[in-house]
Amino acid sequence: MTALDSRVISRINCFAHRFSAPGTFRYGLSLLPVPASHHDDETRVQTVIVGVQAVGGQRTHYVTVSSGADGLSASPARLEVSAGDIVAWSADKSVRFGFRVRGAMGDDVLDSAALRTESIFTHAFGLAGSYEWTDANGSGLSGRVSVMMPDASSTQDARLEQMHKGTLVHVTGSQAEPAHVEITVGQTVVWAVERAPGVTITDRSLLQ
Amino acid sequence: MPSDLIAAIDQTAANTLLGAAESALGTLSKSGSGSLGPLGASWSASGSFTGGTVALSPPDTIAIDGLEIDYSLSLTLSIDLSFLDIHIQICIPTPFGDFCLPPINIDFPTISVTVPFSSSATLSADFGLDVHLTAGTWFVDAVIQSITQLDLGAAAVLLLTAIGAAISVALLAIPFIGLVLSLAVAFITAAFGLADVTGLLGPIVSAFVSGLTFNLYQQPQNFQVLPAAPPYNPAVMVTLAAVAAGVQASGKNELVLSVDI
Repeated sequence: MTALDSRVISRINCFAHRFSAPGTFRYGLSLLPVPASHHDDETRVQTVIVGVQAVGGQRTHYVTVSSGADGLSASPARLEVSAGDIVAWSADKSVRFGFRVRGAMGDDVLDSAALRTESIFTHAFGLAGSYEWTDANGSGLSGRVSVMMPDASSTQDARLEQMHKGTLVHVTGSQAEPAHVEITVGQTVVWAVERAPGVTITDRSLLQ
Repeated sequence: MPSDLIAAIDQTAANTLLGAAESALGTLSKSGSGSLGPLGASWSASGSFTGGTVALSPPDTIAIDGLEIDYSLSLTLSIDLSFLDIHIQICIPTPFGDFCLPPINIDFPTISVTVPFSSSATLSADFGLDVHLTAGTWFVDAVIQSITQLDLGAAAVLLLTAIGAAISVALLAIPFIGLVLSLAVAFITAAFGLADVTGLLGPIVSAFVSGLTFNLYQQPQNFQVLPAAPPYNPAVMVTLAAVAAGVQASGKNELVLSVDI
């Protein structure tokens, strides 16, 4: 799947969250985006144990999601981090249709299909075009990503170098800044979401 | 012992016969596989024959010059693009601190590209005569013996252009190809050339020519020469016991059928 939709984390997406306070985040992985009130039959629970803030500064931890005979699984299934660290979830080649991360840390719900705060969603754009995106949960949040073909006169090395540069969209509440970004094919847009009412980044054409 | 019946046609009449035989042959269908440089290729095609000029040559050769084959081809190429696979690592400042994404590995697939193409070729060939009795009917066929000339015309150049266009369309539909499109085009362009296309097209056209047979004449072995005239005269039937065919030079070359009844 290459569609722009934060409700489904595929191989060209990433979902990340900064755990700012100590605690234990217990979460499950599911295949399909379902309403937040739906009780998934999550036969496997993964955990992120957040300790006190480390002296050495912020770190990023990576969780790889795989698909097998028993369904989706995370590696590592149990992760210990320090307060302030970022945990990023991404799919390996075995995941064909994508996944969703949903769980709770105390009273706080963390859901990759409903971004609230200190959450990151990334998407690499593989085809040129204009992508109007919006919040499928109806907050009114919206924006546009214009994806251009690389300059025909640029060298192959220059084009590959461009791929390693990301573009940031900062979402606060239901506002995106900037609302419109322009990138080239192969580049990645990073949505950093805070103080939002549980939003998605979804291609508007998927909702019609 | 002389034959009971002799029929002869000259080259003019033979050309008329050829036209009728081409129409009767209709459209032929062939399929096969080959390669285009390092690329795998499979094809299906249909073709029909028109035109040509007959030259009769003793003792039993029918030379046809300028025989045209009109064909339509569906060519499918298999292209492995895994050499384009790339690896992306991005780090970016965010409100939550500097964030390095997990590496993104982009694997490019093997694609199939179908190229429709139509053109014509001209050939000159020598045909021999084959007389046979099959299921109660005598057949006199001209069967190809050798191809003296095969001209593909500009087809190879046109097909090369058509292949390039089809590949370009197929590539543009692949996610992330825009980054490495020039690499992909350079590789594919260098993989094969006009000689490779000619090497693929020649055997395809030749597949239609191999074993090419035109039926020149056919007659039931037993046939009625006079209808019944009731009440006393029954129908008169004749049995063709043997049929022979050849080219004889007697002032002018003629295709001669000799029949024993």
